[in-house]
Amino acid sequence: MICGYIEALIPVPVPIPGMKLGLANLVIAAVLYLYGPFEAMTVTVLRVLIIGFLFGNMFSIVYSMSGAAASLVAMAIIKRTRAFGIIGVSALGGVVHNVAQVVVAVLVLEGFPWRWYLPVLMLAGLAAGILVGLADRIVLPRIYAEGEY
Amino acid sequence: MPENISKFLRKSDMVLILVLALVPCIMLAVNLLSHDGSSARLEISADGRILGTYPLTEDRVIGIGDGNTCRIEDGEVYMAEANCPDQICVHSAHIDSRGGCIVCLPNKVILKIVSAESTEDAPDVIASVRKAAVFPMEGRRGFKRECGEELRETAKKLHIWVCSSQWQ
Repeated sequence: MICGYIEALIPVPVPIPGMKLGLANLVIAAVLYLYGPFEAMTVTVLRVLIIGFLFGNMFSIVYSMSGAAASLVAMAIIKRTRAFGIIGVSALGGVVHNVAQVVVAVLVLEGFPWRWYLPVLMLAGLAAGILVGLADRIVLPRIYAEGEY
Repeated sequence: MPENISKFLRKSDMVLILVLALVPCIMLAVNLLSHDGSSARLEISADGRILGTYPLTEDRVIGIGDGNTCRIEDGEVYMAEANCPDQICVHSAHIDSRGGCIVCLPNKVILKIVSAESTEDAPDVIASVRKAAVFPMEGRRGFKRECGEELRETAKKLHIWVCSSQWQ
């Protein structure tokens, strides 16, 4: 069942480069809530590797993996506290995703002007995260309502 | 249905979002306030090496390595051309004396606005070196990097800047 779910989800994040982040996180956050952190990790790793090999190179895999992994860990931890709803969890995930990518960029490229990039990317990640959380908040109850889960 | 999903937007979520929004806003404000726009210059670097700084007052076209071309026009800086696959640097917003930067990550090129304080440390001489002299072992990564690094260190000690029009 999980495999089928993963299979059905993989094509979703691929087609639109600009929307890639949001759509991918939409799926990751949904899996995190529906199944749990380990299933979400499986989907994340598979997604990054498949998209990386299809459309990117070694560098882009490292970038997306760092962002996706950090974001997932942060979301899993904050979800465990049970103090936050899915919108808050997803918002933090979006911010952490971009912060991790900036950190990698600083490590790769000496003198990367993170002072300018970090705040802008944090805001972008926050906006994307809120939207993703909102979408998941609307979608998830409907998946539950199907009765299968 | 897990209780985590059932509530739409909790108070804790709003606090979290507010904090997450506030932090970058403060960082941006600090950036803008600490920037002295009166004597801004454009600093170009590739792979961590500073290739040169240019005043924003003169219009000019600057080729960076084989891959990138940047232009200074009416006090604004932008990446005119790049051979990278994503073209993010070309589509980046123009930067001017108010600060900011344009980065081409695939080619490791950074265009950054620097103010007077950071050029206090500026060199007395700007030396131009041909590629052959800088990278005698071209094609062998380890050697190339070491030679470049060594040259940079020496240049730092002598307080000169080394530029190469063909820097990779």
